[in-house]
Amino acid sequence: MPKPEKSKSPKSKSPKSKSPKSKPDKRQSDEQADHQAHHQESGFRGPRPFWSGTIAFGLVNLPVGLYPAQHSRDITLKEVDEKGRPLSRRFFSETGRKPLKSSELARGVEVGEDHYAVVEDQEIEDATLEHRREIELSRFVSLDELDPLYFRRAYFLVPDSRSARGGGALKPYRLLAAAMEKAQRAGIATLVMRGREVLVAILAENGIIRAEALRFHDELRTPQSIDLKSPGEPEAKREREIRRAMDELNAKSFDPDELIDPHIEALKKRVRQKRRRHEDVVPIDASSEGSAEDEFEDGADEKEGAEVIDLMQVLKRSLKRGRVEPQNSASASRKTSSSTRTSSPPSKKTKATPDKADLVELGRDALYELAKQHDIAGRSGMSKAQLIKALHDLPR
Amino acid sequence: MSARAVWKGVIGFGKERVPVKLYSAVTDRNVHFRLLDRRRQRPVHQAMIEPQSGKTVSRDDRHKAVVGKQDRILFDDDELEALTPEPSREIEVMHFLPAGTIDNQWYQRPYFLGPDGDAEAFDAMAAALADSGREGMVHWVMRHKTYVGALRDHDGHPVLITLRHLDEVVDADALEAPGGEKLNAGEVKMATDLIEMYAADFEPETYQDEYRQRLEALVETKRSGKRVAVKRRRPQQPTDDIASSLKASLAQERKRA
Repeated sequence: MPKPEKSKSPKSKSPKSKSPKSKPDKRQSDEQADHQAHHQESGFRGPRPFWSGTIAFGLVNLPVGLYPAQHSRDITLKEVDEKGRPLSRRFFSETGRKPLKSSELARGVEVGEDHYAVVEDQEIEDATLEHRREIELSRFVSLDELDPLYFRRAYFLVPDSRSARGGGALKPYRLLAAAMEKAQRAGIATLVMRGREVLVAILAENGIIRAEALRFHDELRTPQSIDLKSPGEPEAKREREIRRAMDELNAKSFDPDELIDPHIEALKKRVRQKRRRHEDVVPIDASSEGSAEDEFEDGADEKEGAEVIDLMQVLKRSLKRGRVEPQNSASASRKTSSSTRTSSPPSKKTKATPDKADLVELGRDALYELAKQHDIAGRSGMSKAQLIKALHDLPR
Repeated sequence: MSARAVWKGVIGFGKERVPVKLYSAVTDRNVHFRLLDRRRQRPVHQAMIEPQSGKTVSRDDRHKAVVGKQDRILFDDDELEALTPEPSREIEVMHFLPAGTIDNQWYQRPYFLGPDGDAEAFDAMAAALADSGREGMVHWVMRHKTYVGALRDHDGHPVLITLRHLDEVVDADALEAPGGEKLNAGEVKMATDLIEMYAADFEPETYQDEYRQRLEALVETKRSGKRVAVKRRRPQQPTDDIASSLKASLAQERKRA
């Protein structure tokens, strides 16, 4: 098994790393240095929370921001042509040879045998839920009653003193975390994220509060619903044999190294090798290359790596200070200054406006990322349709 | 309705071999839309183009690349093929861990397990998992991808839950919990008491995905050929002020009453 680059997990009890520099990942620390320098010169600017609002617990109000606890993979493969130029997806009518413009595209449903009806963005938007900024915590279930089949996605909750009226968010945050851990209970609540209701379990671990997004009941099958019979009564001798074989493999603690993906590690190793040997390496020349789409794709890519590091920084700072970091003064003049925000590629015009065709195909998370790059105000409360519209309506 | 197994494998630990079938425990209930050519109301075709020349690049001429900050590293099919894990039916158990050792933030996708032949071995394994309450950490390769999973009991049925890989999860252990003065023991007790007052059972069936229900209704209306009444656009004002927060809370309370 390849050497792990990270060796910690939520459950491992090794000493905490105090500084991000203690991570041995070369590539990351280079990028990190870049980012830190960037932060120091321009004031800190990290990703904004996915959602922000207030936890209402009895009469205590705790303003929080939600950050994803999961992120995209370290390394992904993109489609390119034989010269290594990135490709974009385009859509064509059944007979047409020219790609359809975004205004010529629509979402739709099959209403009969090979017969389709257009669904307008506005119609989808009308289905979204009114945004709500509160998480009401008034149901607490025992931790061991939570069914792991429901867990879908995790978010970190960070205290946000900016919007706390007349007091910090740090203390209520610590109090709630301590009490939930002591009671061994998790709060079950709903929140509205991007027009959709999300069922969450709010739980605390080592003083940090997380929201676990849960699947809705009807998204899970049951053994009965798929005609799976209950296992029969086993033969006692056979069970003893199985038990003995299991005991042979008993371990006390979870080793996160077992979560390393050998396939990804092999791919990373090949990438390093090829770089060293200058094999199949196509340099990205920011000045000569760069049609709008190019920039859009590469930008998104760079962002992903950067995002992870920024996310870590933001989480660390916010947890320490008890507040979500303010977006610095640039936020007022954001629309025009977006080119100065990214360190590379330098001296570029404002970010390319993506085509609606691409947008429609993207998931909500990806759209949100784009909205973030374009500093679209109010994006955290927007539905997919609203995000598409906002991105599409950007000045070109 | 009986569901089709998505995959078959053999769970192995020590000398034991337990052939199993995997059934998805999750069903996709999302409403999916097709991308249409608006004028003809027909589904579109898609193709990959090179944006600078505008030329369509056929599947045969496409390559894969890892995109870095300053470069792209190209891979051809043979190379990628060589890096792809060998197909195998083996679901290898690395360890058995006490219940609750695998943090739930790793959990990704559950599968129900059913026997594939040797029912005695399956029944014995199911009973052993249920009785011991232990979870197996397993590795396997399914459809050219490597998986890590937790093998455990779920109300008498063995399940396999895929886990996220290390590079997909924010390292929670590198984060430090907010610190400060020692919390007042009396306040912690009050908060804990309040939690106990709010103690409830986990009843996921009481929650509905209302957005999805509205979309389903929308699709139904379209199928029936009726026109959809488009609502007037509501202003998207952030509810920052106390008044609207209060109003929202009141509305919620009334809804429950």
